[in-house]
Amino acid sequence: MKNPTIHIDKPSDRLLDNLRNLRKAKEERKEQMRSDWAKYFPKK
Amino acid sequence: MLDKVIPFTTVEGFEYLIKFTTFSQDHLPETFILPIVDITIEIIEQPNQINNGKTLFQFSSTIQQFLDNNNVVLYFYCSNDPIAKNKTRQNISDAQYRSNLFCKMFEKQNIDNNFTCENIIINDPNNGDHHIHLISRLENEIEIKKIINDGLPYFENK
Repeated sequence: MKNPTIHIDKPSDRLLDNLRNLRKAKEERKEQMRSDWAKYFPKK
Repeated sequence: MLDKVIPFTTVEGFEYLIKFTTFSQDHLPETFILPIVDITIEIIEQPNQINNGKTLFQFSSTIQQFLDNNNVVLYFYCSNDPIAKNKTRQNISDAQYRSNLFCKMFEKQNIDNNFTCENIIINDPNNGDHHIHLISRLENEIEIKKIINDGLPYFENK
């Protein structure tokens, strides 16, 4: 089944601000995951 | 407890982490019934090769299993981090490529049509378009529409 796609061509300022914050938070989460790497993949 | 991290290693030896993180419901409309959970996929060393079918199947199986065990809406924001793209897709953004890949892997996994995966593309001329996927059991289609219509601006990370 094809996934439906929705385009939001004129987003509100609030939505765009929020998405930029989420993008930043995602980068921080990825950074944290990289720091925790050894916990999940201990060196043999 | 919905927050969890799942490690896995591909047959080629690349190590990935898939992290599930619940969004705080403090800022979301009270009418949302289901928890909304962010998915983040991370790799330490970016392989030069394009993700193969087996790796994509591992991702999608992990996601499907999470949905089998938890009645939630999954939120996947496609980052613009560099990703190995095939030659015919060099002209699209990394976020868009990641989104297309995510769609493809999910379509293959969803042959019985048990799940819905809504793609949302938000135009942002200053920072590049945003690509989001909302995934849940098919029975939650109305909830997903509600989130798209009423909730997108109110997501806050913990």
